[in-house]
Amino acid sequence: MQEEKFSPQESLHLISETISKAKASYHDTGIGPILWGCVVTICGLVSFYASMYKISWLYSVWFLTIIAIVPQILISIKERKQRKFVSHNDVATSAIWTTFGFSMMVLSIIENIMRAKYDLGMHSAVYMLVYGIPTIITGSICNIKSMVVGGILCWIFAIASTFFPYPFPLLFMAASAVVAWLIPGLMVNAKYRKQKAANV
Amino acid sequence: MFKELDPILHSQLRLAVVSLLISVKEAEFTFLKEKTNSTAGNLSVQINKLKEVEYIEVTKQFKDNYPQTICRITKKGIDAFETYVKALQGYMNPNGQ
Repeated sequence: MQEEKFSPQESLHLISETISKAKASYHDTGIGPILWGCVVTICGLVSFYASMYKISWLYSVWFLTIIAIVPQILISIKERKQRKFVSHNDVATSAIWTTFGFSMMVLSIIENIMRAKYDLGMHSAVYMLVYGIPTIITGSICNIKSMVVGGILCWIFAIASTFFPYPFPLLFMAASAVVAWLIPGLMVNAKYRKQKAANV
Repeated sequence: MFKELDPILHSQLRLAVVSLLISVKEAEFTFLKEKTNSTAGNLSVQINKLKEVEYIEVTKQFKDNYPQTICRITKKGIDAFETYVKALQGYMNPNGQ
């Protein structure tokens, strides 16, 4: 780039062009949503099966959500190392999903305390409601339409699940994870791979 | 009457650097070099100029045993950029002033 004075028109053109370049540099891998989409789908389906066939030990499948934190941390560290810049979106989404993670922990504690008093189907509806919030916000911030749609579907599934007896709300929960994270994650990853191949 | 354009920003490479940094929270030197198509030497000089007037902050650290330079825009830099863009708009649309 030459170091010379230039006209106001050229200045404005340079600013808009450079800002577009910065925006175009942001590529999410989608690995995180794929991971959590798979984990929650498996947990939902296995616990549905456990409930249908009264296999109580299978409920411990939900420990997968704790184990999955380890690969999530490793993925985050790897992506951070490869990243040449930190976008404002990164900061916002990181805060949103960290808050979501802690909300899930609090919700699990509340669920365990109140298990005897309240309907389990109600808990599934609350989980789906909470799944939808960070998903819609992330989809809106990062302009990922499939995530916005997935988040809205989480809320629709939350309402729909209340019309079915337990354990059927668990199937809605698995479906929520598929539409909110797994499908958008796969779509984002496909886009990432395409852009990566184009840059090689 | 046209506002005088900030001479620090009214330079292609410095303006490109500030425009990039305003779009992100922070960026590595290599990212700025890649996006501005500049040479390391020239970019380094311009970054130092922006740092001297406190438009950007520069942090030098090590990443995997390699030196890493991270730049981020300051509040003063954001204000200067906004003033610069407003002045440019004045040039583009003098009747609107």
